[in-house]
Amino acid sequence: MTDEDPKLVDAFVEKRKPTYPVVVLPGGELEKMLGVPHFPYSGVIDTKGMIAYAGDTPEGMIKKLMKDAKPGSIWPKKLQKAGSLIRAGKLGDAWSEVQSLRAAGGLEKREDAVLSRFTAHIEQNASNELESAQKAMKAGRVHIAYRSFATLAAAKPALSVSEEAGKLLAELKSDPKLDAELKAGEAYDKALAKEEAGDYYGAAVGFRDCARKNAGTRVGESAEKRAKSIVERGLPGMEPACFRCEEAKKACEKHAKPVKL
Amino acid sequence: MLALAVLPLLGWAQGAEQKAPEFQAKQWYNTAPIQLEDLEGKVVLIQVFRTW
Repeated sequence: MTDEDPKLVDAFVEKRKPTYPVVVLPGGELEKMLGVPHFPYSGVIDTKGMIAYAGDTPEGMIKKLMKDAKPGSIWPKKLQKAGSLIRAGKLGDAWSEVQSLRAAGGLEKREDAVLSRFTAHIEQNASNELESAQKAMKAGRVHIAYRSFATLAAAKPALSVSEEAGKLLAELKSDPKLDAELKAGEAYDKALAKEEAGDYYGAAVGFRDCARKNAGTRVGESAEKRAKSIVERGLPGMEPACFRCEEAKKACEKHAKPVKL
Repeated sequence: MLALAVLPLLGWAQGAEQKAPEFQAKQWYNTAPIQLEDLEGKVVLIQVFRTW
């Protein structure tokens, strides 16, 4: 839980890939109730919705309270599959599932309310994904935009953004360089995975080589900019365990590894 | 600053349990939006963090 700008949290989630739920809660009401003196800080809510603990060592309280906890999913049984698909980020599949549940009918009041929440969440995320894909397109990351447009356009039944995504996909498909862009995208993605893993030297080399081998493509152009940015920020060679690197937020003198662009 | 931060903690020392507030979330990741009633019967660990 954090109250930071969702843009910062987007980047955090993208980089760290947490598997647990993360929520952006502005206003700080819960933080105030917990009396948060530093970060990170923990709180525990008990089985009746009461704040049972605030502090740095919640393990003992969790162990005590778990004796009375109900096992299993937080979602109603009929909606557990959809909940799991949303958690796994498979929004297209989750969308099909919620629509088939809606069509089947016979839902109880709470199930219906949760299903409506799921529906709104998927639509909102689809809209966010379309926006991100359009930004990726403008920045030359054509392959990333292509993947998102294709997924959103293929959703069945259609999402509210499917038509728009379909139009953008058709425009992309009419580009004679599309195959070259997608091929360049494979090399781009490998370099990006290295960057996300903190291997900035490998990432800078990967982006540089992607740019050299795919000259004339927009993805290659984008890779060139990314390699330059990593090198200019002094990141290649940065060691996460090194105190000097951490302090400088770049590779220290000892660990710096030059990359010739 | 430190005093302000410590004051709410004194409430804990005195055993003042409070009902958790409803989550008025701007954004959820890795889950559909959760409401307090979904968590009935569950023990919830919250970690308050910053991205820096």
